[in-house]
Amino acid sequence: MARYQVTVVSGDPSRTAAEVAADVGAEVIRKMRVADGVTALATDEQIDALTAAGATVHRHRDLAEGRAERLADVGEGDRYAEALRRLAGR
Amino acid sequence: MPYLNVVEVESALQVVAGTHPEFTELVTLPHRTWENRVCRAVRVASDLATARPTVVLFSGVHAREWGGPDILVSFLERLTAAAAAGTGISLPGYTVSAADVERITTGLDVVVFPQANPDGRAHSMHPDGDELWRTNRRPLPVGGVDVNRNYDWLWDFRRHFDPRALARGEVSVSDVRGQDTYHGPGPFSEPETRNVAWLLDRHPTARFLADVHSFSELILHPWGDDDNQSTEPAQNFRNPAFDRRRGLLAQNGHPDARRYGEYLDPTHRRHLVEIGERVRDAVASVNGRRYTVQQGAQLYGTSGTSDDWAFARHVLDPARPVVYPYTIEFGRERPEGVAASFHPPYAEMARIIDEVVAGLLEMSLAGLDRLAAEQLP
Repeated sequence: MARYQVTVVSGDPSRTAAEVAADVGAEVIRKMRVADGVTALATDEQIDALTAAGATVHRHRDLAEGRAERLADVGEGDRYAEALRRLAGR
Repeated sequence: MPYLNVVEVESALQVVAGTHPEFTELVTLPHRTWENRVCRAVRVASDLATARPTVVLFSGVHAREWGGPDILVSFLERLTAAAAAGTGISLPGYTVSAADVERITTGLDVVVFPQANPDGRAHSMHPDGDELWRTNRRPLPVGGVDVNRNYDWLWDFRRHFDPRALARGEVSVSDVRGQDTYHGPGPFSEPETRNVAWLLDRHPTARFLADVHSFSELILHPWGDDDNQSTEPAQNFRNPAFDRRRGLLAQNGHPDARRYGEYLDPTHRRHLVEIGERVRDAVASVNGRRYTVQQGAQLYGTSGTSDDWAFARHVLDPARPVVYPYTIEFGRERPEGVAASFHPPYAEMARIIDEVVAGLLEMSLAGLDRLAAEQLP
C-alpha cells in the first residue's frame, strides 16, 4: 500500500492539524515543522478521509521514492566476521 | 561504508570486547526481544572490579533512526582503540588527549548499548519491511509499542495530562494500538524498555545518560511533559493535585499554560545546561553544525520517555544520585523528505557520526568535571 509524505492543514479552526491527522490514523511527524499544519505519513485512503473531513492535504512524495538507494546503503553479511573468526582462533 | 545491519552491531560489540578483555566487559541483557533476539552492551572501565560513576549510552530505540547504533559502535571502537594504544582521539576539529582518554577510562564506567530495539531495526532495514517503522515488533493483537513512551514516568498520560493538550495532538503519545507512539499495555511492558532499566539498576552509580535519536539537531534534557519552572516545587509530576493540568505549553499559546510548570531544581537545571552546552560545542567543532540545547517539552510534549524516567529516579528516591540525562537528536531535516532525513546517505552519516562521537566524548569529560566539582568543599 503506497504511503505519502503530506502536509495536513485543518479545515476546522477549532481542531488542530495534528488532531485531524491522528483521527484518520495518519502518522504525524512532529519533528518537521510546517506553517499552519503538520507533516504526516498517510495512505491514499487516509488522504481521502482527511479531505472528506475538510482538511487540506498537500501530497509531497511517495515514501517509496529513493527507497532502493537508501536500502542499498545498509550493510550485507557481516563485516566483522573475519575479526570474530580471528578472535575465536586465538 | 554502509549502515551497520543488526547482526553487524552485535558482532561489533563482540569484537570490541574480545579484543580488549582487560578493560571491557560484554554484558548480555536479561530480556530477549519479542523476536527472541539477545541484546548486548559493552562496559568500558580500566578496573572492571570496581564500580565508578557511570555513563550510560544507548540508541536504536526507534527502529527507523538508523544512524544511532553506528554512532555508538564508532564511539566504542574509537574509545577502546585509544585506551589500548595509550593515544588520544582525533576527529576533524575536535581532539581528546591521551591523558583525557585515560581520565575517562579510569574515572568512569562507560556502558554502551547501541541497539536497544533490534527487531524494529531489522524490519526497517529489510527489503520487504517498512523503512519508516518506529516501534518494536511486539506481535498482534497488541502490536508495536513505542519503546520511548513505555517507561514508568507519567505513563498513564490520560490521568496526568490536560485533556485539551491531548485532544489537540500536542503530546506525542497514544493509547491506541497501531499508532506510532503507542505507549504499550503497561509501563515497562516491553523487553526493550526493561533492558534499559536493568542497565541503570545494574549500575546504581549511573550519573550521565544519553539516548541517541534522530533527527532535528537537538540536545534535549528534562522535562518533557510541560514547561520547566524553578519557583513552585509543589508543581511536580508526583503531585496528584495537578493531574489533568499538565501539557499545556506556552509555545502553543494556551491561555492556561501557566497553570502548571514542571519543577526543576535550579542547580540541576544549571548542570543540565552546562553539560548540554559542552556537548553542543564539541558537536559544532567537527562540522559546524550547531545543535540546540533545550528541554524536551520544547520539541513537543511527551510521557514515558527514558530521559525523564532516569532523571525522576533521584526525585523519587533522593538516596539515588542524580542522573543527568539527554536525548540527542542527531542530523538535520533534509529537503528530500522524511525518509532521507531519517536515512541520510552514508557519506553524510559518516560526518554525523564524527560530530556526535565528539559530543559524547565531551559529555564524558564534562561528567568528570561535574563529579570533581561535587567533591569540592
